[in-house]
Amino acid sequence: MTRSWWRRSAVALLVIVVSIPSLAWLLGGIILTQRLGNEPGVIPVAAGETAQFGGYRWTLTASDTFEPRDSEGESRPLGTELVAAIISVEPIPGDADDDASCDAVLTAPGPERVRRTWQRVGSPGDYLYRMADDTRGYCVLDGTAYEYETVFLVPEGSYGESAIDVTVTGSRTIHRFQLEQ
Amino acid sequence: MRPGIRSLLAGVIVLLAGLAVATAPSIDRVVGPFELGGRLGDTVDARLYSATVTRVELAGELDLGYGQDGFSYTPPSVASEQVFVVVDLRLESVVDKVLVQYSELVIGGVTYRVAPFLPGPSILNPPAGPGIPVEGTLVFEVPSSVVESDAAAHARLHIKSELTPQLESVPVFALDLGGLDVERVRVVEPATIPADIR
Repeated sequence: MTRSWWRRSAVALLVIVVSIPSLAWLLGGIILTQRLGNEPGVIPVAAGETAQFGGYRWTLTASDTFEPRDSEGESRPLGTELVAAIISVEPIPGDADDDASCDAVLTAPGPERVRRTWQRVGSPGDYLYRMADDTRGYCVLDGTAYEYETVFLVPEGSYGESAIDVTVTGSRTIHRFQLEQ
Repeated sequence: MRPGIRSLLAGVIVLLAGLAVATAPSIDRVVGPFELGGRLGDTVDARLYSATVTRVELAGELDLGYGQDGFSYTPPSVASEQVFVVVDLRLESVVDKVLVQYSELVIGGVTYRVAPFLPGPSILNPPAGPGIPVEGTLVFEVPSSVVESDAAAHARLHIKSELTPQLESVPVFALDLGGLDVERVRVVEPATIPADIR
């Protein structure tokens, strides 16, 4: 290629060199921005500490593991454990919504930076777990203070690395309550 | 560059472009699911769950166990003038509870959707989270003529949690339904967690 060819093509080459990487960066940037925008915010809460959100004060007051048992009282299913926790929910006067609810799931680190998630057990009595008399097994925010007791069935050994993720309905922020160690 | 060579070069480029277009995979193949093959007894590990087909049977009637402990609005059994293909399955999710309500049985190019009338908790909505296997049953209602056809020897069972999974691994089991006897009644139990998962 001659010197005159380079001279004639200089502007075109410059446009190619600048525009193609810019376009790639722009497209990648948009996808990355959208992905990050869809990620919910996570706020860690240590066991015993109180977090304020959704117009309520939330404190994980107790957590522990239990052996699941079948109707005969035998340990079943072997290789699993129950994780139970009590979260104190207290309305903040003037801020508390009396027509809301929340979702609580147990999560632990999983593959590809995705957290493994367990839903609460609907009938803990199926595993001979007895709820306390003065707690609720469902999360309804009706303006009153109460103790929210939630139970999960997980593979044995999951307790140490797990946390309870609480989300008030309609919110995109997760409050991650660490379990008592 | 001489005009003759330039024309030849342009022709070659057009030809190559045509070849690229003609041999390019369809968009369905580009973003379609990654099918992971297995057979009866195999455990197939997909990204989000693993599945094992433990038994396959044919039945003319299903005993769903409703009403055994008293009155029930749901019929205790379901009969078919055709045939039920009853598949016993073990399922274990990896990240979150997985719903496999979009599972399909494909015979001779025809797709049969999973029957929804299983006793609860069913394996369509497994009663356990990741790391805890669940054993249950999938049911498909298929014409008798199809089960008796040659195509029944090459049935394919897709265990799916989405209607049209994209860029996602899906276990696909090759099943031989040819020659299976049709039981009169098959009892379908709710899905359960095995007594020992270790």
